[in-house]
Amino acid sequence: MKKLHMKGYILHLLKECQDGLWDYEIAQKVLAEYQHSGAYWHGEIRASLTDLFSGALLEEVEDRLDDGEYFGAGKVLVKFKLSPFGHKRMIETGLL
Amino acid sequence: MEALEVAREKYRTHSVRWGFYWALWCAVLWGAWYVPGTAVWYEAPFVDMGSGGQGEFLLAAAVITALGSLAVLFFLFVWLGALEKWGEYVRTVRQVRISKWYCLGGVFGGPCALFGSYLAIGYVGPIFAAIAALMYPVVGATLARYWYHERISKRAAIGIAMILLGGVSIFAPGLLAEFSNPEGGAWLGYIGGLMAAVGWGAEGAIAGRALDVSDPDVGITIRFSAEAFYWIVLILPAIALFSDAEVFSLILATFNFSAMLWIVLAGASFAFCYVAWYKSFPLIGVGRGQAIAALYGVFAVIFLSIFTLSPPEWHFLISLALTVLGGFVMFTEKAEMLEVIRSGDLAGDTGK
Repeated sequence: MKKLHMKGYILHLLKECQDGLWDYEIAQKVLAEYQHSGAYWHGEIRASLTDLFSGALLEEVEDRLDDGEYFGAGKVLVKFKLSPFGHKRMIETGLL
Repeated sequence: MEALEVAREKYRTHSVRWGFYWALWCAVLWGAWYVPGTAVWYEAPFVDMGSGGQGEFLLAAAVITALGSLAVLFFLFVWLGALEKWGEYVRTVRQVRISKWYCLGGVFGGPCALFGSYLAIGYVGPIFAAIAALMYPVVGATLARYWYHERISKRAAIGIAMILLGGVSIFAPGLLAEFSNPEGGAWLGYIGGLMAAVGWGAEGAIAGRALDVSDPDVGITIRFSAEAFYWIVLILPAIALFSDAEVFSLILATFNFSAMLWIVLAGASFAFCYVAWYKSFPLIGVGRGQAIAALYGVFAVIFLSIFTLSPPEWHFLISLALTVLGGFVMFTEKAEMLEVIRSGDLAGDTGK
């Protein structure tokens, strides 16, 4: 199967994990899928998650402070899950 | 827990601020576009066409816009290459149920809005055209509000209104003169003004619909790929086929250093203006993004004044104060209001 575009892939990941995924878990999976690495792509993935959340496609499950292990000390780590609206948008846009 | 709350607040404010920065950057570049966008009309072969009757004027407008869309596309592909997103472009184009919205956005923002603007300039006047185009955030915000329930708070609505009032007051003093002395066929110009406002407003709302599931840098490149296709493959050949216009000789005549320089510069400013416009929408919403971008009226006056070394009229200060104040009203809106730009209970909505 041909690769999905990045936001589509993120939505699919969250569709598969009903309980939600932490942003760093999503970042690891996305980096592996597209064979990317480095701070730039970490930032791009975080920006995509912010877009998806702003658009109400994702919901926050919980959050905690990064101790420097993932995106940098003092940054917020967020666990997201797909919202019912996100599910609906996936159907509308042919992602499901 | 307090540290988490502080970090959360910082992150929230940071992303909302970036939405406003992108929209403001769009306004600056849109304003800068007016320098090459105006200068190209003073170069061969267009210098004689502006006053050579409305048919010639519209033909020149079509050729400039067509070549301009190619220049924009060139810069967008360079930009995508720098961001390592060419692969993402191909992957997104393949998602037809997403990319079709960008292609539709290209119809509204390109042939509809830009050509409508030129109709308004040609048949009523440039001041009427500028004011009509400035109304586009009203269309965009209304569509986004009723189509996909974007949150437009009272404060945001007041900010939008102040920015529009400020923009209109830049051009208003000259408007009456244009209305009292319209060229023949003024109604075509009024339709053109309507096309500009509806075109850009609808483009933003349509783009907002596709941007929630795709990347803004990629989205804008697909949108301009579509627009370049419309102009080069459909519209210009159609004009050549169904009229006596010398389309291809005009295109060839455009390939001179001065004209191409302005077209390329216009392409560069328009490309990155559009990148910034599209990047702002997912972060602060179409209504706010468009309203802040409508500050381009102010920046256009500033850039043209610098370029022509002629200071603007005194009433420009009133316009400037109003637009800055309007921007401030929106910018100081609480970040919590903006964190999720769409209202809840969307899943039951059936609108596509």
